[in-house]
Amino acid sequence: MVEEKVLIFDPNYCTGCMYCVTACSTYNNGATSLSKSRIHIVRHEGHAITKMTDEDDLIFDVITCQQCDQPYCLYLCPALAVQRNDDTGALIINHDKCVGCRMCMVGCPFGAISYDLNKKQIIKCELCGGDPQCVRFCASGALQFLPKNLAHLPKRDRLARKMVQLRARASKEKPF
Amino acid sequence: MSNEKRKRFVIVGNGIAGISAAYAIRRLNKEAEIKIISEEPHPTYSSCVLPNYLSGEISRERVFVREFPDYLKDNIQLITSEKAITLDIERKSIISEAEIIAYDKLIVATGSIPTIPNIKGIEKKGVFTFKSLRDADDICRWKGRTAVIIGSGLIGVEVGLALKKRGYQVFLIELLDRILPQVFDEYPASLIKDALKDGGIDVATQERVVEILGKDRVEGVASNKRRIKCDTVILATGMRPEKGLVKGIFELGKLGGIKVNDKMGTGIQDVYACGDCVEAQSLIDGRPILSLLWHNARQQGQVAGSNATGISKTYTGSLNITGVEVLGLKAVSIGSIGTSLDKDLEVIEVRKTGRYRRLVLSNEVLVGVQSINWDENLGLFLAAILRKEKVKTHKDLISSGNPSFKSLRQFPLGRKLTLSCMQSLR
Repeated sequence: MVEEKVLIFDPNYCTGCMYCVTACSTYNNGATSLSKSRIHIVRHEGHAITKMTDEDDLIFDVITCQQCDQPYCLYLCPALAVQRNDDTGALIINHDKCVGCRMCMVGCPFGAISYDLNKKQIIKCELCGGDPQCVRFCASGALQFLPKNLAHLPKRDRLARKMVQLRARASKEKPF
Repeated sequence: MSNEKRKRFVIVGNGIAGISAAYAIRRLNKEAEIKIISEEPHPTYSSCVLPNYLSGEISRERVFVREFPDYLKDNIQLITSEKAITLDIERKSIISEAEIIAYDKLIVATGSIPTIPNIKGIEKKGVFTFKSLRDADDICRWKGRTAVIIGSGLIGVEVGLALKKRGYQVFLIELLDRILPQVFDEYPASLIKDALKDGGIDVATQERVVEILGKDRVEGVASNKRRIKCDTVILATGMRPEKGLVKGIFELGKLGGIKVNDKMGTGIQDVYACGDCVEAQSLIDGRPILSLLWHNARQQGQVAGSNATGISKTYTGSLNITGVEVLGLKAVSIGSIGTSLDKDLEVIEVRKTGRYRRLVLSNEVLVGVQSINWDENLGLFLAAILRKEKVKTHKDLISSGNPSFKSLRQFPLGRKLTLSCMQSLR
């Protein structure tokens, strides 16, 4: 069994370049179409929480399938068309079994499942069979695909650097 | 040690609960001996997609969710066309028509059977129920022109639409004051009713069928208001737990299902029950409810299978999540409806052109959502219902129909690792 990896997104690095969206829709649909992408970028303005510096007030968020541990899309599917791939951990749609009831879309709390009206198919991130193209083409390194046991490292790294910054700022303000 | 590992698991019922339990066991214990006893001759099929098969949208093969080779591949022994008759708890064995099967752990997943109302003439040819594949096959083979459907639950409505697609003239008769009475309140139900009427289905509420007319074949239906000429009658008056196997052995609840705890245990050692035959606690208020729905049966099966192997898993509770598509109108109901709970209910309605949403709050906690043609964000409401959090703070956002992204961040089900990364980075 291949080690299960998870998709990690760090909003602090994301520049909103949409490479992931383009790569996703091109790889999975054969042509670029933003509505058929399985990954979406949302733009937030004036988000104070993530501010690293004072002029930093624009952040981007990625919305894509979280491959939930308790997936309601999988539970709700009456045809067992949503299945967990044991190798990648991704939730895969079996289009031969799908009857098009769209209950998976109802159950998804992230709005990560959409419907292709032309093909009459459900669209959902399937981690590109274990090699996510969004990560491959991510220019800034905001998206990463890491084994589960290493997934906390970027977070730790970021926190450490934030601490250094805060300490530097504090020592500037209040010299001992 | 090897003997300890090679436990004999016996599952009665080859429905979704049964196979979910079987696969949960197989995943945790590779050597266990798993036997499924099924009354029906088929491998597992999905009864939820039977209306699609009836209407001709999908072929008969696509009804099945497992094939016979799949069972072999996973080393699960499937005994078909054999009815389990009774249960010997002392000797730990199941007595079926042909043999006596010993078990170490037993999972009862016998499912549900249609309730047959007490109407005169119900035994006539042309009267069908709609639950199993055999029922669907029978209706497919039957050459009728006009059908009367008694009962307008989800099965009634879906069968009505399917028969309409097959070219039948369809009459839908409901005893109560609205259609889909268990999952929708009056106003959304009336919207669905209008859509059905637009689709050419004759829907009547507050009408009681008193007699099915005809000699030995159905020739008509008499209600308290009128007489309808027809050749087919479908009974869709509800389902009840099938408990013939366990009668007198298990403790039954008030609602007629097998009483289970949150580990799916029945109170008898080494015997678990799951699926449509049990009454499990409701996710919303913890009261025992009968929830004859696919996803609940599936979760219950997984919990029962996991607990049977000795790995403790808790069932969170049954929740109604239903969707019905009526000729382009997509209606979804999650959780309780306004008329089912009676204490401190608050209803928020959002009406926009062509779409509608109704939120039911109990003590400031969201307990139910009904929506018509308004699919987006429904998952967030589902999350809010599961979280049982007071919605006072973001009431405005919820009442506008667009809950905030903030509520998404506290979602309890996500793959914890990624989500916690997302959270703390923000």
